[in-house]
Amino acid sequence: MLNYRLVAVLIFLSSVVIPLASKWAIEPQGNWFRPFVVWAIVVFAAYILQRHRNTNES
Amino acid sequence: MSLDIATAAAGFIFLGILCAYLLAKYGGRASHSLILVLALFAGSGSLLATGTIEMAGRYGYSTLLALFAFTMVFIFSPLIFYPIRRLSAIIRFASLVDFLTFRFRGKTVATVACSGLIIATLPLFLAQLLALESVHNFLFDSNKILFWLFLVVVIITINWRTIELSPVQNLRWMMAAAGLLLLPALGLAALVSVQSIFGSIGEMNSWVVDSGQRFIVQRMDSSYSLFIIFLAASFALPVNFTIVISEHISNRQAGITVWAYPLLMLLASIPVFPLLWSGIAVQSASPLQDYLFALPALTEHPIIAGLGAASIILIAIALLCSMSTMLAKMVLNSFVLPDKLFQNQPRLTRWINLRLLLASSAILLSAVMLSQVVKENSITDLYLVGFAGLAQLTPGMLASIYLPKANRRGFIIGLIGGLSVWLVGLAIPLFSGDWQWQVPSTAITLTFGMESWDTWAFEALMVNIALFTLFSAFSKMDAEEKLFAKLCMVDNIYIPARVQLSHGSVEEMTQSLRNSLGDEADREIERALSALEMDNSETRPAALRKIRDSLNSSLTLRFGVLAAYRIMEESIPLAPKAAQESDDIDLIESVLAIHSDRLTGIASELNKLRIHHREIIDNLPTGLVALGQDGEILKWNSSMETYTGLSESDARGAQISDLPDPWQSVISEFLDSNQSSSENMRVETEGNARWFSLQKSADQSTDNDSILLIEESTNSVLLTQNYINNERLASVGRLAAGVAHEIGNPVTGIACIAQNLQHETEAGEIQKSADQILSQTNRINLIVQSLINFSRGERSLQNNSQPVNVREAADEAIQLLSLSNQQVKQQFICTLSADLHILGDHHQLVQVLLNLLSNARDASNEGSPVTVSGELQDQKLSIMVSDSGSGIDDDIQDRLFEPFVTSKQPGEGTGLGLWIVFSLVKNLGGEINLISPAINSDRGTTAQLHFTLYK
Repeated sequence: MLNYRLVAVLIFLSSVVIPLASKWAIEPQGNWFRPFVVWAIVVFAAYILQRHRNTNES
Repeated sequence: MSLDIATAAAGFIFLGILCAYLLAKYGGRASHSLILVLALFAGSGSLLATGTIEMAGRYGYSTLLALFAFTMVFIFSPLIFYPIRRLSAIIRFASLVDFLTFRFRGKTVATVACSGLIIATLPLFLAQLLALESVHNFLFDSNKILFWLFLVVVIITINWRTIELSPVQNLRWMMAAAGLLLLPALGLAALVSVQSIFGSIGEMNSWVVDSGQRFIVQRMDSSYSLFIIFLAASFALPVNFTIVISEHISNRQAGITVWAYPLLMLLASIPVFPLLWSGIAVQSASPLQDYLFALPALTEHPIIAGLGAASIILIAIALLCSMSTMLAKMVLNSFVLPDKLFQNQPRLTRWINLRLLLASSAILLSAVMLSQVVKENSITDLYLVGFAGLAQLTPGMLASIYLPKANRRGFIIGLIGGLSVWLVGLAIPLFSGDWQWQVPSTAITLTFGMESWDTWAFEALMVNIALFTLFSAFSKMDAEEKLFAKLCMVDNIYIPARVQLSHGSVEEMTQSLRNSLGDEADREIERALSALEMDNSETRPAALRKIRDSLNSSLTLRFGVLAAYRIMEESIPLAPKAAQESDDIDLIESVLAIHSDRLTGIASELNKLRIHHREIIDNLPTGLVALGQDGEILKWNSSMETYTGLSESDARGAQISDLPDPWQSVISEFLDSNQSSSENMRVETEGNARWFSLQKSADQSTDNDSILLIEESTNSVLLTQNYINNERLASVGRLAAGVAHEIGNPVTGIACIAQNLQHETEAGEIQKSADQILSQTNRINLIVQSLINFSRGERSLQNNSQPVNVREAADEAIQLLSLSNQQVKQQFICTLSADLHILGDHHQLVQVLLNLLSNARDASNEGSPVTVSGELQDQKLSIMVSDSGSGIDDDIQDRLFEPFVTSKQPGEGTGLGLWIVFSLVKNLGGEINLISPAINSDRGTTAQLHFTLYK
């Protein structure tokens, strides 16, 4: 009963999103608060996933 | 200025506690979730309030990566905490040490894990004490001894109240208060500092670029080590485990932590860099870790400074209190309670609470003393060392749920190895200072201490993992280890086996538990019964198993895994295995129902198939009972519920011997017999006789469950009986016809002779005798004619349909009765209208009325009239023949239309009259029913005939 969705998200995050996001977040020309934007997007994604999970369980 | 800050701090502490208390006491579901997340947020202690600013100065954006990793444990809770939560719903783990002890088994595991956790968290204690000391030094110039004394008294007092009331719940709202203050403190401190020092955020942004800070913070030194260590430490942080696993928070609340905790951490991280840059820009002399209150104070904002100081004080004290009580609980569960004889201990709860207070105070005092000798004054360094130590528990924790072959030896050796490297490389240098060692015969120089933090933290973790893997791979697990390893697997659903208990009732369990727990036994049993909504009359094996599991869970939470295991083995052991343990089908089904949303692919399809098969079994028109090897009822379908009136929930889990009679004796006798089937067993239920056919599965060996099929055959049996009765009656009829024929001829002869005698003599005595002979021969003829009619049955009833005047038929019947030689003359009243007709045979109707009036007359007392009345409704004619006699007994009322059934004395009636009436009425196309007592009367009988009116 592996949580396939979570595993798929993890693979996608580690192979695509994290490298791109970290590159964008620490670009020398970028604003200092860019890493926080990335963090906020992760929080929002976690919220959406959790809400989806709650809907499935109810 | 200092006084203003101190006053503001005191006010904010009071306000924060009040807000959290009010939220906890009067808030709704959302408030409780908020308190939970705030408490978790404050669980990281003074790291966010003080340490992160220094970390940001030292590691730049790597700090954000570390903090983000710290929150990932919640983002990925479904992979880490949820499996343990599922297990903890059945076996309540008080702490991480309890979970590891449950998984790897044995006191050595508890000892090593508990010791490791205590020494790993000591640097965190020191960090909180250091943060408090910083605030004290900034605000006051008083005696330090007084400060420490005051602090220790405050914490011990809070701990005492907390332990007395509820160890976790009360600290939760205190930690929530700290979290509640921290967020505005960080935000406002950053805002006023930026406004005062830079003028605006835009100005600060320009300064960041111009000063080169943008490039400085973008460095990612040690980012990988920080990420790994912070992530690993967050798994083992006692506060996280206790709140998410040990406390009984709902799944919904656990779900909220997935996004709310990272959100709070994000909000707390944003002000860190503006605060850092403000301090650098203004060239503050204060240490970076004091910026939260030092910068607002520097920029003349004493209230904001007070808020910052209040948040640090509250968060540090809350964490000191919670960690000291949690560690004290671990110490008790691992070292004291496993060997404690509870039955000899009066006032056990108080005794435990006192030990908890002593242990927590000892841990606190040790930390205070160590804080006086620690060489390192950086909160960041203490956190880094502490987290590197806590990370050593994580391989064991993750292996517990993901690696079934990870074993006790691997865990113990790995943990000892990792902690040893950590102690030598990082922990001891905290007190001794950094030192170096030249490896003999090489050019390698090892540096011990914070200078090589990332190396030692990583090395310790790697040594731990390597030893764990190596020893797990090359050492064998015993059966117990394998069993518990399987139970803890992430994809395993914990379902206790259907084991047999040595006790057969709740009373026996209580008595036995008293031998181990003393008076506490009754309270524990009461608690378990209340939780399961059962009472102490319970004897069903399945229910007793549930009570045992509930007791085990409660005792594990109170006394730890080792003590609970010992108590259960001593008091309520499992019976010696008579046969191979089988699965508890009931539990499997209930667990599958709960976790059905987790099933995907083939498992989900199989589950659908299971539900389908279950519905088929449930809806079988035949009763089905599945019995375990020990005779326990595993399945009781809906037909069985209908037959027995016993619901499935009551029957399931019981023994056959627990069933009420007659089912207990019927099923037991059948199971004990050698027959594989039994036809038409008579069962008396609620005074009614019913018949059932029973069948059992062919294989009744002890290794398999057995199946019993029960089918009601009452209708079939009644039909058969009816058929037999009809055959018997037909035989009697044939006999009667023959007898009647043989009797009829001589009787006719006797009657002729009597008539001749009447005509040939004038002697009065002889004439009278001849009359009597004729009267008796008439009576014999009447009986003989009845027998002939009966023997002919319905075949004799020719349907000669023509309009019949009902009134005329009734008058004729009354006239015939009046002519009889009865001693008693009865009065007959006929109120039938003269124009009522039905279609049928006049003679048959006369016969019907004659029989009914005759019965009414016989039942009536002298002088009480017999009435014949009619009622017309919707073309239906009802003819009522009523008397006011003795009525009909209930026991024969239903059988009166059967032949040879009579309420008269023997010799007074043949029992064929009403049967003939019934046959004739049916032939006339009508219906008949008897009402006793009579209509509009409290006695007597009314015979009601219903015919269709002829026009």
